[in-house]
Amino acid sequence: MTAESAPARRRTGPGLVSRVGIVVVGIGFVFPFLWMFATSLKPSLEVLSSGGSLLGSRVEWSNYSAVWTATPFARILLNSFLVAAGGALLAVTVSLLSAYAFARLRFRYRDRLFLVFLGTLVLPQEILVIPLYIMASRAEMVNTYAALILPFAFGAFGAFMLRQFLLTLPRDYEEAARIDGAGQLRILLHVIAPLLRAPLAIVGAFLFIEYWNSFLWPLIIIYDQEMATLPLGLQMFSGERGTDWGPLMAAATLAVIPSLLIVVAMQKQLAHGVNLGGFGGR
Amino acid sequence: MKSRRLVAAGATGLVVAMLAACGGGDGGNSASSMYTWISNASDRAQWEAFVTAAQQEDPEFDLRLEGPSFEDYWTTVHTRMGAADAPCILTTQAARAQELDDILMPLDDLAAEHGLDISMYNDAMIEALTVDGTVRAIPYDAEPVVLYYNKDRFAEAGLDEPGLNYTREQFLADARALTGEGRYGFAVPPVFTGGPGIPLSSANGNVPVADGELQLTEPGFVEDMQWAFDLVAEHGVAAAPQSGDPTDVHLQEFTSSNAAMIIDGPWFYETLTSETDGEVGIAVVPSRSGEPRGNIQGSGFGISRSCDDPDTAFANIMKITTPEVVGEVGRTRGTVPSVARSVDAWAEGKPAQDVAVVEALLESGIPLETTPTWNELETTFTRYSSEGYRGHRSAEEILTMLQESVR
Amino acid sequence: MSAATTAPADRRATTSRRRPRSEGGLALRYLAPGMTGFVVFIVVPLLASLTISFFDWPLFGVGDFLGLENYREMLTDDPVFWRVLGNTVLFTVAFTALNLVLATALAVWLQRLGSWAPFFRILFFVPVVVPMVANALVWRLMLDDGGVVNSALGLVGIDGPSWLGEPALAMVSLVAMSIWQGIGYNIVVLSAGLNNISPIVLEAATVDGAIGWTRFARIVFPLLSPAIFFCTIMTVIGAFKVFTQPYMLTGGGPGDATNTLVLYLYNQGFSFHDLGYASALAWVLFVFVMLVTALQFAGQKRWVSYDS
Repeated sequence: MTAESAPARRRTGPGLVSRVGIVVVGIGFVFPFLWMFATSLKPSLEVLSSGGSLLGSRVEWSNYSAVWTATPFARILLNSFLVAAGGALLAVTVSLLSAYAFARLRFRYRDRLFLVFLGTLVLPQEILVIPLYIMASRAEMVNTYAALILPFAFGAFGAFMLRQFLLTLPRDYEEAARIDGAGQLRILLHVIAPLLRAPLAIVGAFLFIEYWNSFLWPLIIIYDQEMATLPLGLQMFSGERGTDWGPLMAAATLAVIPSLLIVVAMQKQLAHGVNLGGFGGR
Repeated sequence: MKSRRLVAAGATGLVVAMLAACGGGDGGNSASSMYTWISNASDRAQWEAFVTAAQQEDPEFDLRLEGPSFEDYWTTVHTRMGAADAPCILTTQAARAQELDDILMPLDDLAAEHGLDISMYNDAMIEALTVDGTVRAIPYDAEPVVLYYNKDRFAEAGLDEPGLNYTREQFLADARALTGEGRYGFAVPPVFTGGPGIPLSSANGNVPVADGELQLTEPGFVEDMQWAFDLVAEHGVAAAPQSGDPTDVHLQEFTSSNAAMIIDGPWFYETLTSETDGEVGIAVVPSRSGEPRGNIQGSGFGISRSCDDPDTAFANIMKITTPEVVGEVGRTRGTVPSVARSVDAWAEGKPAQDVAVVEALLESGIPLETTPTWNELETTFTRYSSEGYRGHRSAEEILTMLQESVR
Repeated sequence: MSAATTAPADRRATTSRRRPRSEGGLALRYLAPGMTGFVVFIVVPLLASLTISFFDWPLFGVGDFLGLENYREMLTDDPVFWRVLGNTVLFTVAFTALNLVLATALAVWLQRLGSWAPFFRILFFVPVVVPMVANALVWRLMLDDGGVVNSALGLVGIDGPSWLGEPALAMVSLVAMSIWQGIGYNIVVLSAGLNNISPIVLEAATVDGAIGWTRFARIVFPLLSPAIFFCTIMTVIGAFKVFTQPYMLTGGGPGDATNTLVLYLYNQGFSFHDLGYASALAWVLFVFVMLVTALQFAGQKRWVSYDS
């Protein structure tokens, strides 16, 4: 039973105020997206001078078609998706293996190694971009999917979370499977992974989002339009002689859609809160 | 269980395939490839106009275009040109030629070998594209910065239109008369090269760079920059820009007729004359004397030092910089050609007075000479200019700081 | 299996019976992918970054050895560095404090709204998932001197200031925009924490006479503190790395008012091609973040209560 299903007995008054209040906050919160959409329908040359008015002199639906002709937008969306999905997949797989080793296996220096590994959680990736860039250019891997995915698939976040969950799992299932003669990998795939479905999904989702929104690294490593990711794609509307504001806002609005889909896919986890590592009372 | 294994195998396969796949761009013949700012639709149309015009002479001609957005170009061009499969040809603005010194190959010998007469190009442009005594790019345009004005607003206020002669005092008086009731006489962007400060000082013969040395603190230049700042800070004839402002806020102010005048390049001629609420004309940039003195900006095509086949690359460049081609591009895209006799093609269909302004400015034009640290200068100036325009900092303060800090 | 109900006590990896052999070899196979990647993509660049910071490193080739010159210059000769560091710290403090206070308040508020809560949690999370570039662009338009925010203020008779043009306000705008973008993340985590607070405990407290603020401070907050702690750590780290917002919103201006460490580092490295100096800046950032995080961990005993 969760706290939120407990009836608010003495609070019918604030209840209504509360509800109205949250709706107001909610509207204020999504306002920027509404504004994005409204602006995307204005003619480019009026965007900056029309100030506070919701509408321009005409409704410029052509801004949306301009997005597809001005940039390889479909390819950009594909790139973002491949990188984010591929990266999340790789990261989850690697994290699971590492987490399992740290949680279940015994070996020398295990705890010390884990501590060092964990220490890198506080490491902002931004500080690594310069040597990573140099490494990538020496290896002639600039402007590739590999360069976009690999550097950020080995962080400690996934392993940390999965280890936390693993530690709370009873070993009985594994013991039983081992007695039945199953090899270690089988145990991992068929016994443990299914039990960790929720945390695996959460780690995967958060990593997907991280890749999806990543801006600094693609900015540095990608020089070709065809390999751009979504954040870079939005930069493509600025030219030598001014910015196409209408199509830019249209592209931004379009960029919100996949994000909304991601949120919908995650809604089950989000709705009741994401338990990152099992804190709170039991 | 089988399906899960299948999914895992498929996923792994996907990852491996992606990692193995090379990135975009397959190189191709780099001597026929050009790296330029291409992501914006208008930019791409411009380069394609060159190719199309060149194809009228040689139907087989083609150029593979590659590149990022204009803003990112100056950062990525360095990194891109270092790669093995980099394009041979690249574009550069004259104002950035110094910055690309170590990328651009000297072209004088190639020009001699191929029999190209460099003197047919605009002098100021060639001067600006000369780094360390050698020409680094062949210019395709020579654009004198002009003053755009809204004829309807001038008529409304009962003012005489500016033309081939425009003094500072007259400009200020007109701007003040045109300011009021929520509208302005003028509009300014926050940037350095594209801002009004440089053309206004050039008109008086003051330049930020001389003999390759940055001289931002030269009294004449400082005074002219302060005068530009004062237009906003003291006289209030334009709205103060913000550092995060895109470079086209002032354009939109003009097209919506909120601002009656702006200073910008002739490359916007088509856009501004067609999109503005009201009839548009151009005049010379105001100066103390009133006489025309152009500030010439423009761009050209160069060859990367890492190019394996400079001959073919140069031959290609020649094909897109013939008087016919630059004239044709001038006619269709509105860029003022770099060859004097082709300016007629640009002039086609334009009012005689406007053409006269451009020609007068071209004749008296001085180039915008820059330094290798120009990018840094631009970035930093843009952050501080809003304070200058609001009167929080003086031009002297800002320029002294820039002169000292830009390394 | 009945054994499952007794298992949760087994938190640390002490087994009930000894394994017949050390699992070093097995561990190696499992750790190989992760640790290889870790070394190649994190350890090596980290050390490389330190090395580069001792050089004057150009984009191609190797530069001249400078020893500690980059650091010396940064600390004694570069007023912009101190400004930038100050901005980053200011941003971090303001952003983290406001973010957590608001996130906690909203999470608690949502808790009381019963069936409406899931919808709003998802709503608040949307900006987190939208690319920052898109968010920053629309905010730049909204905060423009003649933009919708000032127009709205104008409707009620207030002459809106220049949100992005005045140094102090630019920082405020930066913080506000960042909070809007990131708060959903914390709300979602804190909501889980709140859900884990047994309603029985809450009921008991209410029966004992603790309601409203007292109940929050004495009961809810301590029980929620591990989650808040986690959020604080992550938020602070995220705040120190802030790049996209200032890059897109103000470019670091006006002046240097919103110039942050990572933005400064990016400009030095990729606009001005001074990779050595940029690496030195990166290391300073790293050390700073480590210190602050360590301090937070040390300080957690004062206010974070894990159940025992």
